[in-house]
Amino acid sequence: MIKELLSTKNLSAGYKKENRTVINNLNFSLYPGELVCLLGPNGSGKSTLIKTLGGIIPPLAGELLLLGRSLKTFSLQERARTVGLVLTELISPGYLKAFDLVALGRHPYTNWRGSLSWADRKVVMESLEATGASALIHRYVGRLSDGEKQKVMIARALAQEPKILLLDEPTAFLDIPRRLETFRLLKNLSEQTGKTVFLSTHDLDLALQRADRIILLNSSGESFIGAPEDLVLDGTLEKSFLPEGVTFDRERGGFVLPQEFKGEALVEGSGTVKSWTIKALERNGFYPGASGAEMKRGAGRGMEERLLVSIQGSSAPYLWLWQLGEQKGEADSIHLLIRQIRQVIRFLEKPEAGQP
Amino acid sequence: MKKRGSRLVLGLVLILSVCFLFLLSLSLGSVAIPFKEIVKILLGLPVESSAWQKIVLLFRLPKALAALLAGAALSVSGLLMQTLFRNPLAGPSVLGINAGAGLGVAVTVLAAGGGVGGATLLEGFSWFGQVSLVVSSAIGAGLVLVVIMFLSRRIDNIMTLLILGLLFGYAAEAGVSILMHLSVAERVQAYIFWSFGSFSGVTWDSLWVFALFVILGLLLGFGTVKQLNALLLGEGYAFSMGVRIRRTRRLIILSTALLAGVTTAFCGPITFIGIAIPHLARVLFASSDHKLLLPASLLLGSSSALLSDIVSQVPGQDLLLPLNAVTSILGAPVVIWVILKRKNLQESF
Repeated sequence: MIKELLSTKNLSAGYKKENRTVINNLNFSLYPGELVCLLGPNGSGKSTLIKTLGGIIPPLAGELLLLGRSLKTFSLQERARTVGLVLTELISPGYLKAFDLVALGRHPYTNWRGSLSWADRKVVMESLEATGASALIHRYVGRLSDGEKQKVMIARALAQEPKILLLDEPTAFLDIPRRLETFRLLKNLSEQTGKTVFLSTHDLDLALQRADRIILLNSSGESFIGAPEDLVLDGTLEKSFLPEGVTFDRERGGFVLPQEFKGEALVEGSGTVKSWTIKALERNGFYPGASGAEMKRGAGRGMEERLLVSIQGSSAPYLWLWQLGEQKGEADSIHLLIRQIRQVIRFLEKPEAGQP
Repeated sequence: MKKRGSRLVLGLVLILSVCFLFLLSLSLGSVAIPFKEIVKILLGLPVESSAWQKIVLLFRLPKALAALLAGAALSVSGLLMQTLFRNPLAGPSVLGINAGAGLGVAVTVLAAGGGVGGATLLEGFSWFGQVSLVVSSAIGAGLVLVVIMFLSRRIDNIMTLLILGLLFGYAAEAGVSILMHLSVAERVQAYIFWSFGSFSGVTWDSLWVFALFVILGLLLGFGTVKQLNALLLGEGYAFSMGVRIRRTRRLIILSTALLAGVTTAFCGPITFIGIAIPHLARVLFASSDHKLLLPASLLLGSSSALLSDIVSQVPGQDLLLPLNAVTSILGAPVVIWVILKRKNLQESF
């Protein structure tokens, strides 16, 4: 049996001074080599939990075991060698080069002056390599982009040679490609080094794709734990996250803003151009086949038309021929197609407005 | 590692400039004494004029040593405060220590009726007047230190501490203004004279006390070099790397208070060196590493204090400029240059 690295028993976390409990009775374990994502709406206590697990704030009640021992019995140095932390705040120490910043992670290993031995330097370089930041070592951290900075900060945590890596919203300031990259990097780290990676995030779709397990906190202090698929199937994810006017697409595993159902679409064609055409039609209320039937059940009112679209050509430029009711037309771009269809709809809804 | 070589050269230049300015300050003054004679006097060899020997050994040498110590103390404590508070405008005075010292002196000089300190001060800088000044400002600085240390045990947020320090400063200044308002003109003048700052007040008798406290403060400061570097990332990260935050904070505050307090007690409230020099060190060495910045600030601080003293004596003239005016006039362009070069001071943290 694999031994757990970290486990909590009836853990309650929050702020003693303010007399505020954010998380109640949390029970879970983290195992080596796992990527676990912490999800929850703002204010549900994600940061509080990360800080509690990292030992920055003491637990209010319950037990927090690290390697089978209570975290309380760890010296600061021992803890720093076991748990590495990446916080949300962006730091900008202007005159620190990336190498020097990562070298700060050797703090729990170095002497009183913080001098680096050759072994320390080697760990620093390996940490930078593991996050793909080797090329940045001579650059000042203050002049790095947010994505590069995040890689360096993760490398700094790795330089502590921790068994567990805790990250508080590591993708918060990043654009979408950088988010994907960060997730891939963290997934690789957990798989290849056997470290446990535990991160909070708002990127639900990425968490669903990449996480081994998800811990879900809701705003009333409850928590749900399981593989992403389990949480999707039993409806927990939907319930915890759903704001008004948003639906969860269980098939695709993502939240959608549903469009008022206007009609069913029948699209002739194949490949990428077909799927993007369907996307555009969906955005405007025309749903194809099966999902159309489902939307029809949900939608009560409105006209229901059948839209036929036939895509001509096997590569760009394409031509879209369409038919809606008695109206027909052709368009040489999706933009034009949509515009023409909208005009027809407007005419059908208010015939007095004039001919399309 | 091509940088390493240029840093070594820069370090050597700094050491040489301290030595050169030290000798220059012994040589220049209302009477100019040739370099060769200075060296002879220092080596204890026979010299042409016994007056020169007296001037150098009794007045200029302790003064130059005081400048050396004060410059090192102020710039190192300024660096400590800037890192601790992660604030580019922090300096030795942010904890209110200087203001406390000022109030102590004000009480002695302005309020102590016919008291010994005030009376003797008015008669000129006798040895006794000098001692009472040092003692009263040390008491003022020490009281503020005790309060700050007490508060730092209970206050979690470092910014709260910064604001409290500033408020202490304002309160002490308010006390000084009231005392000045109620006092007679001669005494007010004596207080203002003290507030100009001066290295000449330190005599051989008191120098060793000054040196002892400065060395103690510097050792405490240098002892926290690793923690200071970790603090560059903020207290959250520092704690996650195993830094005992409160203990480190107390050590840094104690070190700063010793350095700033004892310097103010012996030399008066000297401005600008503490804020300007750490920035100059960062820009010159292009580094935020305290292993470099601490010794660099120390050397730069000593040089700038010696230079300010030389300028304030106006070589060859009987004129004496207020030391604080000189440090500000020399220091302001440096800070302006640093700001323009960096564009954003906040980024150096």
